[in-house]
Amino acid sequence: MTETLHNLVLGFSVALSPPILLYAFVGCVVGTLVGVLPGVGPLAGISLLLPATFGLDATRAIVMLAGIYYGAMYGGSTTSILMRIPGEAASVMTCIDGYAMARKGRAGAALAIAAVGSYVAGTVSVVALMLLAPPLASFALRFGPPEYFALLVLGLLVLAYMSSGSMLRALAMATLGLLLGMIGIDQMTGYFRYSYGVVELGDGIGVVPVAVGLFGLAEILATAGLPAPPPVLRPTLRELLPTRQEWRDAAWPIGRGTVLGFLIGIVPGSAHIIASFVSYALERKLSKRPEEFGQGAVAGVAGPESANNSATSGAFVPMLALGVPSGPIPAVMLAAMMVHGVSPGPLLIKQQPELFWGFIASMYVGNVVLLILNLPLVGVFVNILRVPYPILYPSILAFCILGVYAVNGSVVDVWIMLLMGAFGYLLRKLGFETAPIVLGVCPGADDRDGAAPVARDVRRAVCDLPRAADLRHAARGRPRPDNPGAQAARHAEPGLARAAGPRRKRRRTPMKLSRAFWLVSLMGLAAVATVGAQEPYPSRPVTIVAPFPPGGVADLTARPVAAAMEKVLKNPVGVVNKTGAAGAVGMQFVATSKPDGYTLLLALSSISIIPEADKLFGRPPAFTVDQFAPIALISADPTILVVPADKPWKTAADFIADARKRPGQISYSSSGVYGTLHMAMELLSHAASIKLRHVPYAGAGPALTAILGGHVDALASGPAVVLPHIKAGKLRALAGWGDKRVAALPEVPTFKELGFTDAEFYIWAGVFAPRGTPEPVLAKLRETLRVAVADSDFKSAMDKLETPIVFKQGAEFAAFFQADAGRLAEGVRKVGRIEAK
Amino acid sequence: MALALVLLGFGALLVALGKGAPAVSSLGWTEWRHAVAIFVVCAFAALALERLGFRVTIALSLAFLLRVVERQGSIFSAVLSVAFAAGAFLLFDTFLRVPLPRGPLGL
Repeated sequence: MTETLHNLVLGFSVALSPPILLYAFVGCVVGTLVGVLPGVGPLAGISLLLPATFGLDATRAIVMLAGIYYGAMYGGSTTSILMRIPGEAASVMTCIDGYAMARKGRAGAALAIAAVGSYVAGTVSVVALMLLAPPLASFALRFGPPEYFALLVLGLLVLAYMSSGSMLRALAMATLGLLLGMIGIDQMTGYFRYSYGVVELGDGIGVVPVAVGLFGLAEILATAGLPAPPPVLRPTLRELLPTRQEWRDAAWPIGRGTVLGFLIGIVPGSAHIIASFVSYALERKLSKRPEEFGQGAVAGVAGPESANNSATSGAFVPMLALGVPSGPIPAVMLAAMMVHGVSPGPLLIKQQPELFWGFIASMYVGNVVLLILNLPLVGVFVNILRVPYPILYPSILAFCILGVYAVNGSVVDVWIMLLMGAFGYLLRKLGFETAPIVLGVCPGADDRDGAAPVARDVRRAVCDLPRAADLRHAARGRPRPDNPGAQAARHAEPGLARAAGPRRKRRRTPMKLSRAFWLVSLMGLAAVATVGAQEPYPSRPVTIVAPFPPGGVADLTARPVAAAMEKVLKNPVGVVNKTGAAGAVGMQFVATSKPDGYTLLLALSSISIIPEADKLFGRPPAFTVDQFAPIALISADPTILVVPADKPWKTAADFIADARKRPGQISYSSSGVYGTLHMAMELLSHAASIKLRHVPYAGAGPALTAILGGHVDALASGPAVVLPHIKAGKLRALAGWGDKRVAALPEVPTFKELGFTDAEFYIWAGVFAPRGTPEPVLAKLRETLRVAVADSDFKSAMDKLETPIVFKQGAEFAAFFQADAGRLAEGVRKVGRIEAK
Repeated sequence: MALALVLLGFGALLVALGKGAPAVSSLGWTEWRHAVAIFVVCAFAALALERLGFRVTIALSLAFLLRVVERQGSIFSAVLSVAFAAGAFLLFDTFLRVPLPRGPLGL
């Protein structure tokens, strides 16, 4: 204990120095600004802003990232309370009573309670994280599929407690949500379900466009055309703060939400979504006035907000103690820390105590700075409601489009938001609750926008929602004390509003275009018509498309590459994550882009696998490899075979001999069917004539968690990810798939040395352009990349990621690519269709 | 398949139990013109976002909503639309590095 306190003092001595405090402050401000965008929560916020920290030392960068994280968390609550637009799936519960409080003129109180609740939950959970991380992490790893099923049952119990309207309608909506959640690639077989040839639907429908559509856009559609707005709210300073009674109402829910959220959060794969829903149900069950929930109950804001924050801190337990990214947010934070040379894992506390405690201290500091920053800002935020609605809603609409697009860089998401908005509008008119649909869709959203994987098992949770509401009524302020029922009725249904409220002459809405508008439109069209003029290369920003989510290998390689290219070209080079369908969406996007050198692809080995898988299933190919012109190979990491240290296999020969004796009984986890980790093991299986049992997981992080938790027997992985666990004695490396031994593991042989010459596999990253790009542009790009990989910052970034730079260009890269593509195509054909086995 | 059947079952139950509910026409749909206009603007934005770029698309969309749908003044609508589009782009794309589409002219 004394040592812990000593270390904590060390951490604070670093975190409280003026320059570090400045970075924490900047991080909180920036995080809040980004988090305010609908859909852009902490996950997207950190990954988008990660490159901004590349030039900083590790401590400053991590403090700033912690600030961004907390700022983005809080920013999401702001839009939920003020505009009924959930920043992310976990904020749906805050929309319900937070927005209802705003409608009653208590927006300031709701924002203050959310800020204080988040602060308390964040601080308490960091203390728990500090004291309990190692034992809790080991316990959390024991959670496997049966335990997730138990969470599903918990979700059903939540449904029973939360549905206050028609249970039948809520169930119908939950079922509809589940059906929508079925869209996308089946992770067990690789089938595209209900995507109807739209490759962007391969990863399913994201929860963000659905939530923003059903809540935010539907709200605007339902309310913008109502009779003229009432006078706007001009709250006094006193009215901005919660009353004593509101503080009393919030105290226990904050406490309960903190504990509940932390406990749920440590379970790998679960996180803030289920925590906020369970907290809401708990508060409603414990409340003496459950009928107030949905009408602006303080506990309905305090509980879920605290649980949400606490759960996300809890999710850091496995990450810090074991180096296991147990959910999407810890995965991005883990990647961010690795970029800065910090490798969380079992040895972090012992070997780099100053970094571990520095991170802990920075989380404290981030919480405090955010509270200090946001409490005064409550008044500023509430003033948004002073803006007349006819001017406010177009701006909200623009932010919805911006936020939904920014998450994945996908216009398809904007279309989904639009369709869901129209659908939500109709459902509201007909009196259906829409939150159950959001929860049903959550499972498919895992990879797209960071919904917790456990939501897959909790898709049936349903909540009640206030009926149709009106932001203009929010601006009106408090309900009339003499007739609150009539006030509620006006909010509840636009049609009824006219009956209960004073009648006003309906405004005319002529759709004639003014001359000024025509002028603006024609100017825009004329600008487009001038496109195509010849220009020197590069004369405008270059975009590198990373076809996988932020924080992954493609993203983490693309960002330093872009930064180094920017230096060489002296021209902006940006990274856009176009994710979906196991990378097919982004790859197809580049394959069909204009071949002008302004749209490039940073692809991984899977570029060769996807077209073969398409052939296998007889579906039209999303793209073919000959649609790309290879520019340069950046890195090539040989995979290695690891097993838990307590398994009897000391060598690869032991493992293979045992697998031959027990065909189909030794299991391995992978990042998904036909994914790189799967293909490596399949290549080995065929080379060694063994049969292993494949257990696909939703990504490399869960696959690592599975082997550390003892749920599977083996894993093929990049060395950087498993090295800390090998050094800590948790895993044992048996052999590698590379041509040469891994430098960090000189005692581990390659499969080639052992006689399995066909078992060669690399996780590589290379840059491609669309086929047809002019040769002078390709030559310029090859030269740019040659200089870029020699850049000291780039080398440093790759060193920190423990990813070896292997640069090949031109014919050399083309030959490497062709050989690798041939091996993988053969591998896919050998694996065949999964469901046929 | 099972889910679809369950949903059909719920639908049938809702129809059976909803005989006494008020007619859809009695709900009041006076806001439909606004709703359609907003929907059309959103559809335009989705179509134009990557073709014209964020700034041009958002400026045109806002100008239409403010000037034509909400009948705000021409100068006010134009200034607010352009300022909003340019300001949002500057803040999120330029300063905060949130990548937004630029369109063929880099706008």
